[in-house]
Amino acid sequence: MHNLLLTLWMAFGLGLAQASEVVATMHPVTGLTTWKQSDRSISLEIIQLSPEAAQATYSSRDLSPVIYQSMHGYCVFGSVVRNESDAALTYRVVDWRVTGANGKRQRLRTKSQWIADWKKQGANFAWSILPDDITLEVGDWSLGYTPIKVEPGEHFDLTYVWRQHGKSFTGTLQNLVCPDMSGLR
Amino acid sequence: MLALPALATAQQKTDLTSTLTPVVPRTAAKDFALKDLDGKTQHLSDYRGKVVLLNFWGSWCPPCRREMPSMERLYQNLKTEPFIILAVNQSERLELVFAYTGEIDPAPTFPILLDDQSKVPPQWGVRGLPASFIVDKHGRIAFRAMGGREFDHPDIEKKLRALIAE
Repeated sequence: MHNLLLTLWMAFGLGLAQASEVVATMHPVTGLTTWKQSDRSISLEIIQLSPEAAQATYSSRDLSPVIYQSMHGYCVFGSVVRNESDAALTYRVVDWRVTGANGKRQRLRTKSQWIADWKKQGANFAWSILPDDITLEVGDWSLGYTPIKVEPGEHFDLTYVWRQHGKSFTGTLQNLVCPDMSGLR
Repeated sequence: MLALPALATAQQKTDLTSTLTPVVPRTAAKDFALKDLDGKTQHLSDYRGKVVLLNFWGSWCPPCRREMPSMERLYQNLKTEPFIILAVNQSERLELVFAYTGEIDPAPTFPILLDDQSKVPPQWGVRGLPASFIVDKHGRIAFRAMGGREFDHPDIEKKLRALIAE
């Protein structure tokens, strides 16, 4: 797959030890993009999905349509968080923020909030959304959907926070885009 | 199968890991009763005296799918030992689970259990899939792992053989 589009080194003026690498790759068939940032002890991967693919995860398992319908107005991304270090770390999605192109900031809706919402509507399903409050031990990783309230084609930054050795760290994935499927083949 | 296709593509570029986190001190494993694919009820406590690899999974979850062949290879490697794998499916229909297991190469010969209401993971503190636990012969949790693993990796097999030898 000849899909390497862009490698960015962002030094943040803090020196190489704290630099983070962002690799963006585009799927040659779907045109969908994946961004992966390795930042000190953690890596975060954000994966564009087509709305149909996300919906099929639920519909192909006869899960309640309530689940996918509840995501109306959200752009659903795949997400993978990995502990790349030799010590435990924690993250809480409630600490993460999305900043739109207009500068407006928003919180992410957490897995716990999604599950509670689904349950209220009679859909008892506890999976598929990125775990929202978790300790990743050495070699551990987590994945799941991350629905974000942005429009198709909208650009945004995702600021994520994690804790390790009693300290808080912040990283930002810049210029992510909700796929506008009308522009894809 | 349409499970998280783009997510699956991304996962194929990354390796499953081979670490297990020790649980110190070992804590008593919560028992459960779940039906297997033949409709027979199985309890975790049925396997006291054996080392148990307990795995929580769903077919929509790419690393769950990727790690399962390595579980079967591990199971074959340790088939003469007091060792069992219990793979607990979450929230899926019997027909779908049965069809999925037929797609795995090598096909699993260890018990697949059905937890259609996802009642067991909260009792084990599981917040995402896949999640795995190693239970010692006395019914205590000895190791845990969050995220996909290459279960027949020598590092994991070595830890399991040491546990079996206890």
